[in-house]
Amino acid sequence: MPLYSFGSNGHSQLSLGHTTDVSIPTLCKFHLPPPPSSPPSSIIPGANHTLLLFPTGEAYSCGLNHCGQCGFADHSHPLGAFHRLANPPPPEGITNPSPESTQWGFITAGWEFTILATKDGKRVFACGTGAKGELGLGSGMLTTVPQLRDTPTPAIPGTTIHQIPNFPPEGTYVISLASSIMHVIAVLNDGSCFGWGASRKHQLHHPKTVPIPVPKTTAIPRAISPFPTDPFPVAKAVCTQESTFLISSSGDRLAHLGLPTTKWKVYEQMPPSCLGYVDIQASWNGVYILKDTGKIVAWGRSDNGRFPPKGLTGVKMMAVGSEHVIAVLEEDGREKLVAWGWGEHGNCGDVEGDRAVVPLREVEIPGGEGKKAKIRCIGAGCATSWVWVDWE
Amino acid sequence: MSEEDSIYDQIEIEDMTFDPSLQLYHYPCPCGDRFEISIYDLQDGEDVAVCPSCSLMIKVIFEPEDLQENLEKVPAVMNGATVAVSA
Repeated sequence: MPLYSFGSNGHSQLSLGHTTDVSIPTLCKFHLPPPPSSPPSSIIPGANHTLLLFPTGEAYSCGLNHCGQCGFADHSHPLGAFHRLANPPPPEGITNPSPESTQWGFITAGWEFTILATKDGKRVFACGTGAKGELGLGSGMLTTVPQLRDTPTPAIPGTTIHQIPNFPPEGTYVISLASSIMHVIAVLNDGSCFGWGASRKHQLHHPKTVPIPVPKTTAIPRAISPFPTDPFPVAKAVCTQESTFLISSSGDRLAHLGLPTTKWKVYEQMPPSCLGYVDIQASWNGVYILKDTGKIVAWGRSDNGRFPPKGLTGVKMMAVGSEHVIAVLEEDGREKLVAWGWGEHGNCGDVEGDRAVVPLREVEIPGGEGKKAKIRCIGAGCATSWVWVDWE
Repeated sequence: MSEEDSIYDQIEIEDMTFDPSLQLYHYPCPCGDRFEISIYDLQDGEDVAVCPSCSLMIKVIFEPEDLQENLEKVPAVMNGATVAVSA
């Protein structure tokens, strides 16, 4: 499969069959059965584990699995290559389940945990570990390894994946999932949202409706306090380490959950709207909007070359990692992969000299033998970069 | 490059995780590994936690009394500052 990865690989999170960092895009390995030949809908990196979600509802994972974050019950060693995860079982008591109820449709990953939802959005699952309640399985179950005797819900056989009980509320379904390394946001079809995980920095509260004392951790999904004035239906969320941003469907409304004074000014610099957005993603302390004009608008932490160069246009796709960005540019009908930011592990390509501050540069993708690269999907994580290329 | 220049971020000790078996505080590093500092180094007034996998470091924001509760959690040792930290 034409999936390439490069960057930090200490726990085989790049799916290359070894644990050495690489700075040149390298073909990923897949354990049998092979994945679909069409590209994934998303590439989802955690700290040292990675997931792929395909439009067919199939999910794959690789990398560190010591607390079950890859979803596989055998947690004795990391997964050196992508393995296919079990599909969600049919909902209890349903004789003719819809295909959408037994396929994966949404995945987000944090530091050492993974949150998954079925394609119909009616069931949400968790695996891995999170001392701040990131699994959403309750304060009695902060990890899926070692397996507890009594768990709120049973694991899917052969996996560490448990369903989050009583969520989402009856009659609603998930339309998107987002997470930082330590907190999770689920957006529902009625425009409401729920959050869990770290909450000490008010990540789960509108500044005007913060309870006192503020809960430091939140171990089950809780409804995000309604906006005190002028609410709007939320369509999408993105999370920096200490803030949450909620976005309306058209991008005309944007709200911040977090402290009124934020590190790196991620709140203070927030624009009034993000109309015309194609994609919104967050680094650990910055937010990046890809606009339909092919430009990227960014705010938050900007030092050490984290922001795109002024005047950058022609951006077709972007993927924002912890402290670096990769993007696809189209110039004269040709696509090229570029990277910038913190590239110490080779995640901005094979840079000679200072990798701590990498200005925008092209990353050559080996192979193709003279064919034209058609880049279908990109991803970026904790000093990791991913690209799915069809050669035409 | 001065130490100040290479400090990636300043992190409050309350946001770090204490591991009583390793007797250290840790916090995620953007490379996927984690910044670590021993509780005894903090007790000695050190405040820079390092990542074993990359060049980044963080400055830990803390008061000496913040350590007290966790110092009581670690097994009684002879003289903390000179005890090697091992897994």
